[in-house]
Amino acid sequence: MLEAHELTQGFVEDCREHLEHIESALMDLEAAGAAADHELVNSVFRAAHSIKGGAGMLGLDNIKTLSHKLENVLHLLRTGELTPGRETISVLLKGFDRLTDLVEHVHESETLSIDEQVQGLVRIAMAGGAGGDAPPEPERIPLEQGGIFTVDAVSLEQARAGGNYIYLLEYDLIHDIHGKNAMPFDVLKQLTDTGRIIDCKLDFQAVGGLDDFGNSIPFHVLFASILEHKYVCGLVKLPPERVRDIADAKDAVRFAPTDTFREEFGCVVLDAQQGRGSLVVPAELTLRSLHNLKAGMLAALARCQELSLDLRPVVRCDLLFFQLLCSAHASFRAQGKRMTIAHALPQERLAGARALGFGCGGVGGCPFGA
Amino acid sequence: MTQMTFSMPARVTAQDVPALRERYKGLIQEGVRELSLDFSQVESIDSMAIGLLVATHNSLLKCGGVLSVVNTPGNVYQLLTLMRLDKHFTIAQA
Repeated sequence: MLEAHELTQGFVEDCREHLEHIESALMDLEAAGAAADHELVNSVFRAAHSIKGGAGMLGLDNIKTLSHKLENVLHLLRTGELTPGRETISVLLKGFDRLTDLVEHVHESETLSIDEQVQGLVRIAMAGGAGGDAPPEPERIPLEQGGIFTVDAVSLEQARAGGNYIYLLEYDLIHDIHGKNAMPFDVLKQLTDTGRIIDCKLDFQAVGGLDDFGNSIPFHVLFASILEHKYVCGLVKLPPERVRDIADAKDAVRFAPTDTFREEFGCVVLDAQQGRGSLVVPAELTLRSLHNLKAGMLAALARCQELSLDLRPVVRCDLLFFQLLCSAHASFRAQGKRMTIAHALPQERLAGARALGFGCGGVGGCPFGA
Repeated sequence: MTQMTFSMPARVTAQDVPALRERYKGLIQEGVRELSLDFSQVESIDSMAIGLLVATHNSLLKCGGVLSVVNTPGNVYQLLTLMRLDKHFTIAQA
């Protein structure tokens, strides 16, 4: 059996092969412009796709994320929605340069920032896919039990463009998998063997805590497949009403504005009631939870008139979190909206923030209560 | 924060869940707030065990704690990340 370091070394060598001719390929694409060789675009796309797959298997999230974003832009070039102009190629080159850095320093890759490259790629992808400079707006699929399944619009469009039907599979892990003596790994493997899992969402709130868990574990899978509805129902062993065909109803899955909703961003849950959103900030503000918190705040900024924050749980945080609070506060004010603090930071954290100079000197709603 | 690492058995299935659930509840009641589950021996995990992970995370979150899953073998890691559980708590590969 191969050891982890051998697998990683093999992955790095594969990546080097994939990345070897990328720069010259991209330069050729730019020179050709709209007349670019389709096969050349495909070869660069396949390189990004292969690297993404390998990184996913090895748990190299930064490499996976960056190659996924590169793949999204390359997909738009493949479909002709984007022309390989100077700016697009420049952003792709920077992205691949960073990807090469990550691969060459694979053991430190999780600590290296990819924010700048990802932002550039998302901006290009959305400008190409949406025909303008609008910020990325995910697609939102309302769930039967309440809540919203938020999915990256470019990934969904990519799946649709492949001629697939898109299905929302509504499992209950207890009744539909455990109750049928099946194992989740086998069920998901069967899906990946017969189609593509675009995204998944397990309803953490419905599961409950250790005191009350055991009745239901709702698990939603957004699944792309060329199979028709009746065949998918047979394959996944779910009743037809829990295999929702949303492939032909693109407009139906677009978010319909409402002022009362609940949306999860990883461990962060945005609850909105009549335009008033509330967020409970997680105990540990790691890069992951900060990312989720920022996504929740942006959603509130876009869809709520007011956002109320509960900062009591915060146990561990750093400068980035304080900066995020300040930026969010300023953004809400700039749009004539309100961000309020329902419960302040614990005293120790508050003192830490003030010692670093945070506090708006009396501006209403200041997250640091200055 | 009180920290604890707990080793998991090779197969984590529905029949193990009641005992593990009581154990985790006890640990949280005793003040453990950083619970790390060592998955190095785990070969497979069923739906109820996944529910247990989620419920443990939820209970810890409620009292300001954190759950992490460490030394996760490839196929189990693949399952947990495919289910996007890594968006909620840390899952580290072996």
